[in-house]
Amino acid sequence: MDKKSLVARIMSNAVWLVGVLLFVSSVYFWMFRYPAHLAFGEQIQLFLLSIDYFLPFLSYPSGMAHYIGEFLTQFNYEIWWGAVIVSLLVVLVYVQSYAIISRETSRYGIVRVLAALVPSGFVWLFMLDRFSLLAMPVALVVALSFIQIYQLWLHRIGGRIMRHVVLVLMSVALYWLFGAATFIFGVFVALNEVFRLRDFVALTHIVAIVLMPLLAYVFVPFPLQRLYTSNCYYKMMDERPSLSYDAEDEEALLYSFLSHYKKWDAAIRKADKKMPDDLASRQIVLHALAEKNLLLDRLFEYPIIQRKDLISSQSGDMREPMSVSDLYFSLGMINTAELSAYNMQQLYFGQGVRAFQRLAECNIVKGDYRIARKYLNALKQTLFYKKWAEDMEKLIDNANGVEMHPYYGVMRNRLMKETFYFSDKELDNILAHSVNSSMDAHSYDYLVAYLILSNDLDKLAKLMEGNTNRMPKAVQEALVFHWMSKNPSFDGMPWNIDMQVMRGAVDFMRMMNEGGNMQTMRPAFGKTYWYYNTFASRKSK
Amino acid sequence: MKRYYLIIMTLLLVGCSEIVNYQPSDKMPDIYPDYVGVTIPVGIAPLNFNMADDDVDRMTVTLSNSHGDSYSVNSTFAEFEVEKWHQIVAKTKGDTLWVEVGARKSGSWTKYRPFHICVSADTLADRGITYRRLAPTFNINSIYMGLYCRDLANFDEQTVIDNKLSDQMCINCHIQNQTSTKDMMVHIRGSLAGTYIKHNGVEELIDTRLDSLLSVCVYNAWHPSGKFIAFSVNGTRQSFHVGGKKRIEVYDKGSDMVVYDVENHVIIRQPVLMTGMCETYPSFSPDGKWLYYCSSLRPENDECEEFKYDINRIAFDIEKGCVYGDIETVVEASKDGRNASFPRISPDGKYMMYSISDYGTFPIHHPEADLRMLNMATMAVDSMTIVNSDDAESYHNWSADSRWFVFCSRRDDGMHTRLYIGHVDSDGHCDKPFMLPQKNPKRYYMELFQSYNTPDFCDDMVAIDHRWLLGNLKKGARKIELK
Repeated sequence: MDKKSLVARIMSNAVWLVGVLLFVSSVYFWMFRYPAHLAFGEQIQLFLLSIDYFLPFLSYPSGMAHYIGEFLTQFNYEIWWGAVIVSLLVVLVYVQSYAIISRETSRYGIVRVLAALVPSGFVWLFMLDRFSLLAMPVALVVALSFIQIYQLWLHRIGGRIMRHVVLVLMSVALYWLFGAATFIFGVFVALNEVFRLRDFVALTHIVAIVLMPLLAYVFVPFPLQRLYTSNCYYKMMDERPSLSYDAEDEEALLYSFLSHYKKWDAAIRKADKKMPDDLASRQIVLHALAEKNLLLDRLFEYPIIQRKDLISSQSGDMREPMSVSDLYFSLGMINTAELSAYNMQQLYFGQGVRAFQRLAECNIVKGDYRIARKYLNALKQTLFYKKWAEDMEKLIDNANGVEMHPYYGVMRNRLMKETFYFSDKELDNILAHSVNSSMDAHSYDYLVAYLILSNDLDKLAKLMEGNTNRMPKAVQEALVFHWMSKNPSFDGMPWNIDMQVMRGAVDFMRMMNEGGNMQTMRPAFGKTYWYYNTFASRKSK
Repeated sequence: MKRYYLIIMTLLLVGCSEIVNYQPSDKMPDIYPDYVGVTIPVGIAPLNFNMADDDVDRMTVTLSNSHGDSYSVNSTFAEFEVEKWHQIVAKTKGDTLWVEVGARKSGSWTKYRPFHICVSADTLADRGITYRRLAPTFNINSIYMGLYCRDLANFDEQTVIDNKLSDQMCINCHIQNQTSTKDMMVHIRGSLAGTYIKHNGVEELIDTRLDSLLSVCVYNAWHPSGKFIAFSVNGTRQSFHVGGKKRIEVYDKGSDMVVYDVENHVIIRQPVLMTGMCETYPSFSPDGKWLYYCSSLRPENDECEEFKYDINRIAFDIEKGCVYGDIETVVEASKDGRNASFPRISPDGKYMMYSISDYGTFPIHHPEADLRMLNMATMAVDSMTIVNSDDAESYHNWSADSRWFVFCSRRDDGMHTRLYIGHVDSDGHCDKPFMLPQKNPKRYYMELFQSYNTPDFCDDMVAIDHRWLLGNLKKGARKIELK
């Protein structure tokens, strides 16, 4: 085979090659570069396998697309399934677009391939936003399918008026079931009939596109603008998708994912490479350290840690605050964890499996079984959480079962029995009560870390009275600092402090007296409490 | 055809033979909702119910009365046809309706001891109820929040207004004028905000943001004439319990009272009710001559536990729209270290129902919150033990004929408030209330993750034209002057 015919053959097969490449690259992208977005989409929805859940979707335009989109999104529970589903939709749009274009013209081979990539590229870009829903690609695939059916068969319907009536009715049905993306069907039919057959009656299809949302406006209480754009394609009603790759958003969602599935080692490994900037993600890193009993040893290993990185209620500047509930739950602040779960549902405008799981857990730990039963009942109607819900149901009205449970037994022990009002300013008192009531090491570590990051060394010293055990690094550094600020020597210091720490403290003081500053001290002391106290915490103030 | 006939007959025979072989039980059935011994009005929607036991897969239920009427159903739950239900209930007016339940579990039938439902001789004058439904938290505007109107004769519910109009829309504190839908009002908060008022069929949208007031207008009460609405303005705050049974506290960092003149579009200051005290929750007497409200000392540091409201009243000048004279204390709950709120006078003026709790502004978040009924002639207080439960009761309102009241309770699961309707006879005795009927109540309430609040009877079904509302919200609500 000569070179020329080889090129021709490659060109003729380009459409398939591009399709395969598109699929492979898309699967790779969603599985390895953007998996947390898929998981997020699955976690903030609650798709129930019941007829009662399905029927309301038929009551508004694009409801069927919404329903199918949710049905498919539930498979994101397994990331690779989600990646394959999104990729199949992307490739389907490409293949269908190519087929439609090719039916109209057999010329411009490579241009046809490139043109077919435009809508599939748009689908890919659209799905980059965390709040984009699969309803849009689903609706697009359906609309393209009907265009293909029109090209193959519908355009042959005899009787000009009859054909237009059938096609307009079809447009109306498509709009009601799949929403505004199906307008392309009407536009295609109109253009095709006008340019191919010189039939200007076909412009009624354009009129229909304008009128359909107006007609729907009579029946459904949505603002008109949303009926023209189909609000079911995008989760946030009053906003628009960003259509751009957002690495920071993916990182925040990934940390949230790791927190949800308690993949603490993975979170620490990721932070060891680069500490995240987002507040919620930073809290997850410290939470992960605490879960691995490393919090007080490694507290200052990451750059510019602040007290709010440990615990705070300020979710406003968080990219992904769902993990806040995980943290409060772990500390026995069950009502706060529950409230965070409610807030997340409200923030994301919908009931979600992750929030439902948390609400069920909270109420089982608290012993409010009647409430827990409601959430478990819903989760039992899902595909992937049914088993979890059935297992949890065994703990209902089963105090002994909860107390003996390896995880929820610990959580019940951590449960704050006394009532306090949540306050950022009172977190040390709240944590102290948690420690007193549960004698739990996790809460204790948080209390100690909180006092250290608050530079509240008097309280820390009081807490450590009589403690002669070897203490974690951050505690030793803080206690030495506290001692040195009040005593001329280490003589009489009541704690078991490593010689290396004492030497380090003396060196730090000496270098500071010699005019050390933030830059010069960082190489040797950047990961110490002394540096945090002297430079980092002050800087944050 | 013969074949189908045979199949049907066989099925019927199988069904009959199963029911014949029941095991009698000396217990009453454990049903959901608990309709055993409740009192209902003629015309109420069917009191469908389920067995509490999830393993029961079939039920037979027979309704009968002393006149020999009976009506039986055989289904997975007690589901009555609306017409047949109404017929038998109407024939039982002022009498007792007996309910005999058989239930099949694991293939074997049990027949329980019959229970009764009292059908009151007092008919319910109102057609329906309006209520708000939202997620059971308050710190962010709720998803899928809405105001709805329920026809009490059946299971029809229509949306008055919901927040599909805008993401951050909060709809609250709606009220009719003594159940009359000719006068009604609703607050709408969020990026599109205003107070919707309908008076004698004329709608308007007003903006009550005024710099010299503590807040926009909040809790409200129509004057019976429809000419005025008393409003409180509240510096509302929230606190959240980290642990314990209570989850949230809502309280006022100061509150005052004003009166809105509906026809002249002005807000009239009420200096007597704009003091260092916290005045809130207005309510007019049915003759319109008295304004009732709650009042508490404003504690130092705004400690929520220190808010203890009493119920006061003050004379109201119907011509000027102003209060005058001395303040009288009607319920001095603070004297006993308790907290009284939501005064609601029955339209016949005989009783005042209110909430009693330990402290705070929102009793619905307090498990100890109960209802009380004050006899306005004797000043005797009924503790309404048959109405109250171990969980919170609040948000009560009277029917137009003063014989029925609707209220919210958390007794169902301890978290989500549900609606109950109770009866008060001519002697002021309360009967056991019943939960708002639903077609399949167990399923409906189990799958409903929202709470009901602020229920109110209405004489007709109501709806607000959302297009009119949205258009006017976008244009901006009418600015109101302060007098």
